[in-house]
Amino acid sequence: MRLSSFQRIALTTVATVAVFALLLLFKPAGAERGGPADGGGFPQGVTNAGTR
Amino acid sequence: MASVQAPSPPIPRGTVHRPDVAVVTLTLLWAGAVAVLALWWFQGQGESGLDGWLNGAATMAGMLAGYLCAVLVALMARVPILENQVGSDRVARWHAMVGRYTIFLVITHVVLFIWADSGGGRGGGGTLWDDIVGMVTRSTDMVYATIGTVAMLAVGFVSVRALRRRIRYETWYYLHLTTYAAIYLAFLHQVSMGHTVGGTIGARTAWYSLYLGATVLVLWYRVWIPVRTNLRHRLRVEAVTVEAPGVWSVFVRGQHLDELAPMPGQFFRWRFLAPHLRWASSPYSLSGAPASNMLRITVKDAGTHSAAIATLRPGTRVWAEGPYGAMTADRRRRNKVLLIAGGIGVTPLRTLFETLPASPGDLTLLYRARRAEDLALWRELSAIAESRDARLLSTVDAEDGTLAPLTADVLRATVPDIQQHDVYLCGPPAMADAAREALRAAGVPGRHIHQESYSW
Repeated sequence: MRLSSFQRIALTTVATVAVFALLLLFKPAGAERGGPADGGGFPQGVTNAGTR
Repeated sequence: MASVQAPSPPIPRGTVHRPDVAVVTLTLLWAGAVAVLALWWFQGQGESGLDGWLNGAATMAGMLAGYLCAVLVALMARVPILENQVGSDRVARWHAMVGRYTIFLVITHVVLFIWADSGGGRGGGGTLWDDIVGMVTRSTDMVYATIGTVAMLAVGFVSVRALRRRIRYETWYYLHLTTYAAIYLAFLHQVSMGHTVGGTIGARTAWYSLYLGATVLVLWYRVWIPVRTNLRHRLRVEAVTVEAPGVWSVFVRGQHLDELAPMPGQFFRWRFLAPHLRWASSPYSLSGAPASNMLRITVKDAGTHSAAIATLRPGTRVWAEGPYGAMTADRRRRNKVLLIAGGIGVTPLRTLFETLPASPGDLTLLYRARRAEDLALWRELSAIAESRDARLLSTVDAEDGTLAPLTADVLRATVPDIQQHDVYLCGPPAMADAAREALRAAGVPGRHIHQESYSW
């Protein structure tokens, strides 16, 4: 069966969301946060000069 | 014109075994994606709350996009094993598919990080624009990454099929080359700011190795090998002859051409160092068995580049890359072979028609064209058919423009034991797709249909 472009995009999106959601759900919880509210996201204060 | 005087013995069935390079390559690509997600999984600890989830998803999307950018470069490096075993057209389709998914991941990465940076939609005291500006100007590498992202999205935009058809191939090609700059501009922020990729020496080494590997492949196969090849073989146009209305053969003379060892059915990418032609290279199949000092291609007027071929003067320098192409005798699994050509798609099949080992009666060429006068190379094909005791059939459209039918019934009537044939198929995309469907309906398994597409 050949999927249309729209079907392929929809399937890819759903599959990606599902994989990301599963990984986020089951990754062992801990103290580290990624969000800016937690001082995470991009490591705050990290600059090019500091990392290279 | 050379011809085969006595047919070679047919290949024994089932003796050609080799790992399917396409399957191996796809398995490696998927394994790489899993490894990238594993890298995220084992770096740091779980995310919680909306901000954490947004950051986690954004990081995964970014890492996958970064990985796929290296894959995109590697797929277009013209690595011989991919070009000759998988097929340039199939690799190009993979490249396009991966490119579309990469754009999707890049957009996801950007949107989710901006969302997370703005406090998960709760508002962080500034406007959305402030958040975006703040993120972009966080470091020099983020500025580079933003420039790279914008360039990548622009290239993705002009690659949308509906738009791509409206621009010249050469324009699209050179715009597409900016993707290299975009990818390397975006690379810097991955290692300097991505705490997952750049967090440990192992992860950082793996990431650098990935990009270094892709870069080496491109430099080796798209720069060094072509330079070496062309310095060695010193190709020049020998003559241009008319084959049919709007169809020309170009004879190219060179030195030590037997070292290139092109197989029947393969093509080169040709760049003619002449006005209107030097800025683009186009893939054209060899249309005759190669000699040690001469190659021949046959080209139809199908665009600016191919139309300018007719104006080539003898002595014009030629830059060629190749040989490439998987539609060769290696693909064959059965004694009986049917070749189906549509229009100028006859060129690679003409060399196969001349050289494929076959017993008398086991080889058939079905040649479809719009008009009888468009059946280029017909005289040569007739001579080959006669010398090899092969069948040569043609079908042309009706005078009122009605397309010559290429249905399962027609194919079965033309070749009654078609299910016992390997089929080589080359023609315009619409014709080739219709023929493939007809072949499947006539009972030819997909693995016995060897197809090459020449659209872009």
